Amino acid sequence: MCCLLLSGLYGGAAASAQDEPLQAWRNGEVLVLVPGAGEATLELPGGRTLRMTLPERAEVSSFAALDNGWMLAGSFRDAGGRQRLFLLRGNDRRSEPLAEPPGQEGLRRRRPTLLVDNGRLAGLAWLEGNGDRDLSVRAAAWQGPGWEAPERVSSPGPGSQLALSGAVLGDGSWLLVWSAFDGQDDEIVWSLRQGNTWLPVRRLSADNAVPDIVPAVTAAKGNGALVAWSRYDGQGYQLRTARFDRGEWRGEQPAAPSGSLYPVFLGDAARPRLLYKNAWPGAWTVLDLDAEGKVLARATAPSSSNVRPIVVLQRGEVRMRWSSVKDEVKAVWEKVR
Amino acid sequence: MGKGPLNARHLSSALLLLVLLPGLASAQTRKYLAFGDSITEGVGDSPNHEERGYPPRLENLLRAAGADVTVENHGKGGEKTPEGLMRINSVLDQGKAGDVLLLTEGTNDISKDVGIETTIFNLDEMRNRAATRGIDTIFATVIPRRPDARFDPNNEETDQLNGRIRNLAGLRQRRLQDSYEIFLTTPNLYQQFYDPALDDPVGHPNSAGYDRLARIWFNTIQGNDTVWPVHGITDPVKGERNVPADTEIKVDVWDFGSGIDIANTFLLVNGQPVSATPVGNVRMVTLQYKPPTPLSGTVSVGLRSRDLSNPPATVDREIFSFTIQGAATTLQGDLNNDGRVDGADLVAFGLRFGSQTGDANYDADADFNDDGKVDGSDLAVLASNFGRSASSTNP
Repeated sequence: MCCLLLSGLYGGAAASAQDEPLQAWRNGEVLVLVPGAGEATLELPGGRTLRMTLPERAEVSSFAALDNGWMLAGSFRDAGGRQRLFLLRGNDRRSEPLAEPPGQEGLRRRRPTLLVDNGRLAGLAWLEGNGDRDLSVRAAAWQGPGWEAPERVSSPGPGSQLALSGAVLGDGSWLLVWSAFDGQDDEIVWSLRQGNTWLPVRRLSADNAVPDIVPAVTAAKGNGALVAWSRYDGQGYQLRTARFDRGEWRGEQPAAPSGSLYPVFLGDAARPRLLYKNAWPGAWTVLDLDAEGKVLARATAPSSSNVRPIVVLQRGEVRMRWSSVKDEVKAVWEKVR
Repeated sequence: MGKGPLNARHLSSALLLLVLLPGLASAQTRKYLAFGDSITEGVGDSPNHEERGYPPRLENLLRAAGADVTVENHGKGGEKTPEGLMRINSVLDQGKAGDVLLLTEGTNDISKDVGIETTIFNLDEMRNRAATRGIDTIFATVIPRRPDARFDPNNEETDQLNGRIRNLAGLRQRRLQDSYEIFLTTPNLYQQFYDPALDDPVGHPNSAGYDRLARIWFNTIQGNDTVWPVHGITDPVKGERNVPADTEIKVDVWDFGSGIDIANTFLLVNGQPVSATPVGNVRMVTLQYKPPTPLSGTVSVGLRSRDLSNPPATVDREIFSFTIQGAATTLQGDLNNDGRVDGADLVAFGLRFGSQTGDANYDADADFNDDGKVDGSDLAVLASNFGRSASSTNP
């Protein structure tokens, strides 16, 4: 990977499914992780690759760049039927497993999200329970050689709690967002860890009668954050954004037409970009955002692929490629007024 | 004029009729719009089939029965219901009032960050859009996942989703094609009717499976009642753990054909009929049971019922099990901790067979005699418990 990529320090993404690539940023360089069946390939700057073995039927959900390398987290089902977490950390030459947080109570741990603070692993958040409909949100802090005891961020609700996403803000606090069924429909909820205390879980947006799903969050300038998610608008699911500022969510707005789904932030707090899928007709779009979350430009590549592309940003160009397709697709930035 | 030779006016009228006739004929042809994901598209089907999936087979069956129909394949592999909601308008626009939407979607939502509640919301929205165009909807349950599926290999989420799809179809008074129930009760299902591809994350039918799927659709459309009463929403749900010992058991039962024979419908707990009075009507009844003493271990919930057809279609089987809080799951061979030793455990064991300490696929949980090898001795342990459940060993 020879290209410039995004300025700034660190960033990462969370994938929603096996075999979807994940990207992480480190001092202007990009790392690409392509999970496959029982293994993953890490594409490093300079065109080098590193192959690593994953547990059988593993799902990688989080990948991040660190000061001295990289780290990934996922879940797998062991022979006993328990769904457990796995973590790998490594550098350009090798990888090694890292123990999962202790104290698994539920039969299932899912969707781990790495929490990285200025290039250092700060913690891990994940979903835990006995089934998809009784998952709670847990988190644990990383203290050098090991994990602290897991903390309970939320209890199981009246239905599904899914699509966990997290970020470490400028002041070191941890922000988690996820979708939770409230008895009527799915809503986006959040909690913030300040010091060692989690704030009570709250709705991100006003209550409504339609599903709000698949959120993604990233740190923004100062101690803020940006969130993107999709809400049913009568035709399809429409991407919306909001920014977290001084403990409140502000500036909620639609960010794309109806049919915009599965957002993932690319890049870093200084210059966030947002990748999402256009459901119909099929395409993938990258949004260039300002620090407030306002859309400055968009670049769209037609594609019927359900799998998220690898995105390369170079000299004002956006190129998207899929691990199963040789040819790249170029997309042109269009300014948004 | 009337009896004169064919003039230009007559000729143009005749030509107009010739042009319009095919259109009039096609306007009367009922169109079935098969909408869904890869299982509608036909992934896993034999490459020898010119057109993949169940739609072309269904069209042949319906035409052979004398129906003037077309069945269009609008399956899109990998699609989840949030994307389906955006695509479905373009499909419904190809239909007309009186056509029928065959709707099978939702399996890709499972474990992919889309909750069951949202999936049902989306399916109901699709039905609503079809209804506004005068197009009827037939819902379908999603087929079982393979025991080695990457997600939900025990069909716990799939079972819950299907219970809710049945509930949705019932509440909206729509027909239901229940391939889940028929597939699940088919002997040697995965060996005979599923694509054996090892990297299949879900489980797709093979050519024989698509034949069977088409036949199930055919029976549903023709009104051939081949399905017995089935369960809808349950509480607890399939595979639920840590259930309080004094839990009440509640099971909705639906029948989408001739109706439920209520007098011959019983709830079974650990294989025995219990006093759960059915409340409802021939279309749907609720069975509710409060155990007089606390439950323990793994609890099996079964349904014994029949429908009102002649001869009746009957069901007498376990529909799910759950585990009581604090229950020990020490049954050797129960690798997936579902409280019983069955084919799913055998599949999990097979993945470890031949391994020894230090191998990537070695797992101490499958090494029942703790000798550092997963071999024939361990298989014998599993075999000795095969078919047993925690509740049957510790009643």
